[in-house]
Amino acid sequence: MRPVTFDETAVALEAINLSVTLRRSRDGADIPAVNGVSFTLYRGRTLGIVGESGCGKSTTAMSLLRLLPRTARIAGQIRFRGEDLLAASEERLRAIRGRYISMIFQDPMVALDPLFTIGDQLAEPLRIHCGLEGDALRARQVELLAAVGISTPETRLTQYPHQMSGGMLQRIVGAIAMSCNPDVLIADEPTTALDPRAQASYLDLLKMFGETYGLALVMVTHDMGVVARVCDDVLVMYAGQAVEKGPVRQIFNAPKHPYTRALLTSIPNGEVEREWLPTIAGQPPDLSRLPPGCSFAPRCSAAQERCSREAQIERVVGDRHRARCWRAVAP
Amino acid sequence: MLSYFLRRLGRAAITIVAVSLIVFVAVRATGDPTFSLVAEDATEAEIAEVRAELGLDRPYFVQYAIYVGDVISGDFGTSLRYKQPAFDLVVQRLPATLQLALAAFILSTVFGILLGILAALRQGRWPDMAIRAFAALGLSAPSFWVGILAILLFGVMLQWLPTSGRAHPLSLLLPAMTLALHSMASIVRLTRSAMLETSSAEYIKFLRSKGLPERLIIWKHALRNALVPIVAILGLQLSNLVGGAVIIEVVFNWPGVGRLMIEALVNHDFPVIQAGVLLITLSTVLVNLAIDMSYGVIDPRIKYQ
Amino acid sequence: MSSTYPTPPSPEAIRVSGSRPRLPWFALALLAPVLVFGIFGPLLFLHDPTAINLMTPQKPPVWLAGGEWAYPLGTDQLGRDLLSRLMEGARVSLTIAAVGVLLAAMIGITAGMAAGYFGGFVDTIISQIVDIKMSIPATLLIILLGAVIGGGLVTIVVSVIFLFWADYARIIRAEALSLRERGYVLLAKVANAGHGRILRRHILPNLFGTCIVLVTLQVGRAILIEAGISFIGLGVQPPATAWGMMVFEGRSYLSTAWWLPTFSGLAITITVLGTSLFGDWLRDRLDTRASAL
Repeated sequence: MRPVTFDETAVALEAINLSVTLRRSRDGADIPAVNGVSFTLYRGRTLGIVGESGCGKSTTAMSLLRLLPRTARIAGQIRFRGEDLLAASEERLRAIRGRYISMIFQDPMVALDPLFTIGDQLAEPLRIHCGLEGDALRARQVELLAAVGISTPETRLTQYPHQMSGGMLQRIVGAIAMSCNPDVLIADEPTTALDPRAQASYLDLLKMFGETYGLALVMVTHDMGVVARVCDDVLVMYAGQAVEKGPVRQIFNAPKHPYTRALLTSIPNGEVEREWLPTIAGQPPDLSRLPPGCSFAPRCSAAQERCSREAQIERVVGDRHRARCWRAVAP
Repeated sequence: MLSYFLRRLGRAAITIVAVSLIVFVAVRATGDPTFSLVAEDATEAEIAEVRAELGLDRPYFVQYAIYVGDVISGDFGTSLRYKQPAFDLVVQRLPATLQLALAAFILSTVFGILLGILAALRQGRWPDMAIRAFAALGLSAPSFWVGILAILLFGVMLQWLPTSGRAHPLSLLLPAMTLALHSMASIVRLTRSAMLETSSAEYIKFLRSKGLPERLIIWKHALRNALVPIVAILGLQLSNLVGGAVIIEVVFNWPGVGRLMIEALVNHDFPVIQAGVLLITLSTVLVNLAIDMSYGVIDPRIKYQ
Repeated sequence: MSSTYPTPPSPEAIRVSGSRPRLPWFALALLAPVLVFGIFGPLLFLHDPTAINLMTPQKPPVWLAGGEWAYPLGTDQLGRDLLSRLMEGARVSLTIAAVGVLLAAMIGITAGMAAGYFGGFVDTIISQIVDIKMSIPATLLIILLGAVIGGGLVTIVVSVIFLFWADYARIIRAEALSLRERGYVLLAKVANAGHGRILRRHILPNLFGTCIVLVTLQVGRAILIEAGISFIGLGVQPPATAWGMMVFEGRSYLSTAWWLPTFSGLAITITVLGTSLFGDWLRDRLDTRASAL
């Protein structure tokens, strides 16, 4: 795999006013899981999408490739290489999935088909998207496994998922995702299921991919520690909305939204324990019954009467830095 | 793989021993064979002599060993009605029964899986509704009744197909389809739910994110995974089919072991019954073993257990 | 999963969230006449079901030429009223099925609870027996039994027990296995409660739903078994009657009196379909593990 030269300001993908409505299977109610989210992915940069369970971050990630259940409705635009993916045909999307935009899922133990060899599952995108066969295919398979740090790749190709550890499987999932040199890689909590040592090295691997191959990386996570380690930009989500977004340095140094501040204070100090610590009192709201006004207001320690009355709009708080809180602009 | 194979082999062996024990107990329970061999006015001494000759005065486990020895050498006694060795009678009829059961097995597996996939792919729409209704009926209707209706329809009213015996090349059709119905219905249900379950699995989502065409996802990955629980019950289906064949043979006058045994039942021809039970169980267990082996081919995880 | 992204619902979930009726009206509609006839049959008879009337042999159902209202579904070769015989058959078939299934349940639940709760050696033995039973064609065991004790009520009930206990044992074992690890069972053990007490007070009550569902589903299957046994001549003996026997007898008159086997078989099918639909509904309602059936 050869490093590529790229322009860091080149836009890889742009999501504009993305909204997703999901059908809840329990009662058939329509849930506004994502509500007017916009962001831009740049080549060679990593965007972290952060938030608690149920904030819509995974749904946002999945909607980029339209991998949502059939009952889901997506509105807005996803601009990629001059076309709108939300308007593209299913056939066109298949040509994009795995070729230009690929994904890594949370749990590597269930991400691969247990009945087929690693080699088979790695060969699928190479055959379909790159037309590789025979020796060229095999050479590429070995090269990919080596690139993700798998020793004895020839042997691994003939093995089945159940013969490998979670850390190794997630590297293989990474190799499959990277197999066609995509422009965009979406990683949905890629290290949550791994043990701490494997977590750190996997994050380094993804970071290396991004920098070496000019990949636009989306890192969906609940863990501000992960954001600090790999991300260049951050999008903080709460109850389906982007409550704050901007360059990681600005957000870590001067968070403008109370929710972001609460998330940052909940980062544990220890190196070993990186689990989510629920230091924010209260529960996220039921998306089918959002409160009027700011949806974070019921849990916000700085909430005032105006907050629960007035829906919040995004405000410019700095260069490329936005926050959805009226108090953010106040000095 | 080897330990899996050995475990299955062990289970097959235990099954055969268990059936031989059950039959042995049944043989003893039908009465002391001594009295059918001695004259009515036989003396105590004569009776004791015959008993000794038959080994009936020995402990039960010795009697069982003698019995097993007889069975292994193919000696199941002589049919009371046909005055022929019971073993020969059963072996002559065995191919017909196995042909019927295997034909039904293939029919029910192939069509059961195909209809199950179709139902899953059209979930909630009319093909799904129709197939599920068909499966529910197939599981509820007694096979012999379906057979009788089939005879009424295709034999008596339409006169399209032969309904009795095994002479005509098409004779197999009606009995095999009738026999397959029940087992097909359960395979349809299992396939449908297995397909629906696998198609919501995480690895299917990952395959979609790789840009694989939908037909590859369904026919290669989802189907193969759905086959795992299906193959696991095929052995059970086969033994149900063999058992069901006995009744279907009566309905269609199919000259197999089943009809032979039912006749023997009427005539109290016990040697034929025990030979039939043992030989059919033996064939079922052997075919079952072959199915179990194929399980290891479908699911690689088995090999490494 | 880190967010509320719903996975595509499983088939069960769809059934639950779909338009599942609060009561299984279709199943009840199928079962109602069967139950009414089975319970109140003798009060509703138009004719004595065993009364032979050689003046009226093989009368067709009322809607065919030659039929009359006195015999709504026609008569058999001996002039007996088919409807009255079906009602009598319902009583016999349902009773046999219920008794057989309940006895099988008692044995199977005990075995399954013992295997799942005690584990180890007990489990190995019971599971092995269940395994063996599963791989022997059921009909062969019935024939063997028939050869030893002859046909009749006992043969049917013993057959049903013999064939069904293993299903209970298998499913109950799995349930008991998971119940054994529950907090309250472990607590009871810590509190030095005896095995008998734990099984009775903590395990058995939690198996109730599964047992009810199993029994319901098995009643339908037992009726099929009864029919099969009657069909090979090992069922209840004349003049008593059961549905399977009526199909068997009617078979000989297929070309002259098609209604005889047709309606008898239809009665079986309707009953089995009704109980299995009702059982499916119960299973969804009680949310049990019986789906393994």
